[in-house]
Amino acid sequence: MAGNSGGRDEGRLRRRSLLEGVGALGVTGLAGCIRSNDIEADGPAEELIQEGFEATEIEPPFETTIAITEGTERSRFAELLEVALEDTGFFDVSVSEYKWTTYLDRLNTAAANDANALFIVSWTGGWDPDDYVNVLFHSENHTPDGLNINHYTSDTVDDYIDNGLEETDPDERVDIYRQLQEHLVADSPVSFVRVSEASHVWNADAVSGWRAYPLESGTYNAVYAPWAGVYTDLDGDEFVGDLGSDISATDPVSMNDTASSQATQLVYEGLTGVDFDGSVRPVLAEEWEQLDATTYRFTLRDGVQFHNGEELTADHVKKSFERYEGTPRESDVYDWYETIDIVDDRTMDVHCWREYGPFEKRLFDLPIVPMAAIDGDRDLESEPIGTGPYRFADYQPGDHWRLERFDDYWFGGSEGVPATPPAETVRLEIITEAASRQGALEVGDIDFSSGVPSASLSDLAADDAYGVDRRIGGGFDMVIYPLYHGPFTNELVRRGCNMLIPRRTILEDVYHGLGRPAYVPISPLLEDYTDEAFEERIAEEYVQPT
Amino acid sequence: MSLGRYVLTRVLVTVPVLLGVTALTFSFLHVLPGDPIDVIVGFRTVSPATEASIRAEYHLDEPLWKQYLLWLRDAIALEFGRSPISGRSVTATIGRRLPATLALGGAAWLLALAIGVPAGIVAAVERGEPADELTRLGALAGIATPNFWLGLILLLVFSVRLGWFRVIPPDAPLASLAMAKFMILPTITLGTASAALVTRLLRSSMRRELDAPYVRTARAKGLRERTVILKHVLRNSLLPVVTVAGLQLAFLVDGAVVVEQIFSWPGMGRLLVRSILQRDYPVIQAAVLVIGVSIVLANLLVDIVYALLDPRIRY
Repeated sequence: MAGNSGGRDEGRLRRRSLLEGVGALGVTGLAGCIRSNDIEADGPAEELIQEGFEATEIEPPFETTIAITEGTERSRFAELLEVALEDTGFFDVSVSEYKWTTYLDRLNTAAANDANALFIVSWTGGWDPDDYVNVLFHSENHTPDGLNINHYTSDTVDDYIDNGLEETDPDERVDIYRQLQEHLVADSPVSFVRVSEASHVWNADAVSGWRAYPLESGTYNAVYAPWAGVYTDLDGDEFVGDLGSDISATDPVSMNDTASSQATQLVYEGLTGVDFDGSVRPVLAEEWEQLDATTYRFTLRDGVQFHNGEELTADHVKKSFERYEGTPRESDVYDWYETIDIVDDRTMDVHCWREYGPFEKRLFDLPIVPMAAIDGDRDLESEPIGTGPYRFADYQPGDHWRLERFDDYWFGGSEGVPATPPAETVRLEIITEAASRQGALEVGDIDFSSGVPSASLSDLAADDAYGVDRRIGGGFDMVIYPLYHGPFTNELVRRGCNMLIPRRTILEDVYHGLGRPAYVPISPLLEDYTDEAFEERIAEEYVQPT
Repeated sequence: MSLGRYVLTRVLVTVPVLLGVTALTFSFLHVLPGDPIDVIVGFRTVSPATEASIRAEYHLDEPLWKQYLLWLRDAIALEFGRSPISGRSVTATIGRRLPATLALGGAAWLLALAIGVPAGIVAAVERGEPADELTRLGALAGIATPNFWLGLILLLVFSVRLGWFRVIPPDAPLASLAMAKFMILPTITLGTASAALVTRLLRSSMRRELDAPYVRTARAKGLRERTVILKHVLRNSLLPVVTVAGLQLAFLVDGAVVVEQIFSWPGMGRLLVRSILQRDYPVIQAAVLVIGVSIVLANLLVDIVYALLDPRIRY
């Protein structure tokens, strides 16, 4: 699973899951005459598990499996989890490995098939708290429509998610999402194990002052993002970076993988941008104000040109948004968009059909494209055209992607950022093998890599020839419990398991210390929602009682 | 039947074979778990109307047999449509990857023969001598070494440590000196196992021939050993080698995924794996067709070489 979550749209129909209603609430049963008393519970986690086994009248050891995709990281992760669970005496655990596509199918059908398996999955959220909860926990997002894999169903959680999404007051939102997080940890439909970390490495003689953008899709913002007050100094006219996989699609309406977003980051621009610290900044919009709960008035920047010579107008914005209708990414826009009233060439009122919390941040991911593309004269799949500091030059699938400086870019220079980007061309080499990415960086075939194996990071950081920058990102590794099956129907069992997960060991052993242990659903990247004090309190109360 | 007619018949027989291969791939693909729509929409929620229109656009709403026929109709005109995942032309996608694959596969195949044939001859002639033992060890190592390991080691030693080669392909046309230099390591990686196979195969088949009465006769009538070996024994020993070399040719063209990964080579293997993961049906279908054609062609070539090598073989 990759990419940002799209939202949910209440107005549209969806296949109802068969299992709706079977969910988080534990079944209370008769305790006392069950064999789980024979096992001596050791510590608070095992006490909870024992209580849960008694309540569900299930005799330990309960046989189950941990389902993973192939790969050494995942199998080591699963082994550590297996040992932790088996040590309790309550579980008899095996590990099953699947090919990625088979695994996807297993995930999609797990709840419908009553699959007796714990799944280890990754998920990447973005800058808004909704990204981390909606698609995973809302009851309308049960698989196969959404990614609520264990068909978690809780009216309380649904309400929190809906209210958070439709709340535009920042303080209110923080309150809502903190309560939601606590509720989810208490109920533990999944365990959050680790938050990922962006790790960027560069050759110090070619690049200086690189800043790691926390979200993978925005990696190349660091090259030149005057709207965020950031640029990178280079020795030479060409900057050579890397991409971990081929670019799938370059038209914003069908783009949904990391490499495609990375490759087009310097080409396309939206009304707003989210800078390296998570603040919303004006990009193509010069300024905006909220007129009422659902209306925003935007003033566009003056003199913005597209790479094909068109000049940006309010009409471009309206049509760029409406272009999403009927496309794979329509929910990105139609989750909130009602219409745009054009006031004049540079002014417009954006009307949302509901109050929408993530509004300003969502605009970052909605590039404004030229009329030539809207009318179908130009195909953005073969030639992406935007307003960004770089224009598309050429793409050799499986080999490289090249951009060249756009001379008519709108930015006029400021104290911190020069008016023209230092690099004349930006070249991204497609290198799928992590060891080869490191090799290419070491011999200087590339200046920068965002995918060096985590095991090598500390060595590179200690070497003066390289620069390393690390930032906590939006990616999570988590364990999904089969809420619909056996003892896992009981939240005490799940909470006990959640306590047992050896987070530190997994972080060190599996990921070589890259990232940090996770206890709550929303990444600490979103400081307002998950600050240290909050995470510590939750961890102490539910995960690591002292 | 003359060779010409034989070739013609074989080419005609190819048609049902390719039909069968593509039909099988098509049905297997749809038995596999996973729906391309999920990938197209990036696991987002879309309205039923949108989902239906995307399905209709790529004929995913038609019954399976009809999808296949629609595909077939276009394929006959060499029109493979657009990938629903990337929106790009499938023909162009394959057209870019195929030359890279052919170049690397061809180079590895030539290397396999250039090493395997002489080594096999030496091993057979020098049976039991140090040269034989040496090639035996070499061949064993060559077959036993997994190519991902060999590739990574070569890359680490010769590119990263010694700096003799680039780690990733240079920005140069396929037919250029820079590219030829870069291809040395991937060619060795890909060709080693085949070279080892050819060596062992040729050795054993030559050993059999060397004990044949006609060899004694040839020697008895005073032919130079060199003539006996190269003109008589080698020629008669080549048939099994040709069979395997033909299959290896097809294999090298299609089976280079690992090597392509390590050396960032933009070939068919990576394209195919990626397309399967993404359920990119049109690309998979076209790639399978190309691979099917390459295997059929390799076999045809083998049959023709048979006839040239052994005048007794007539079709």
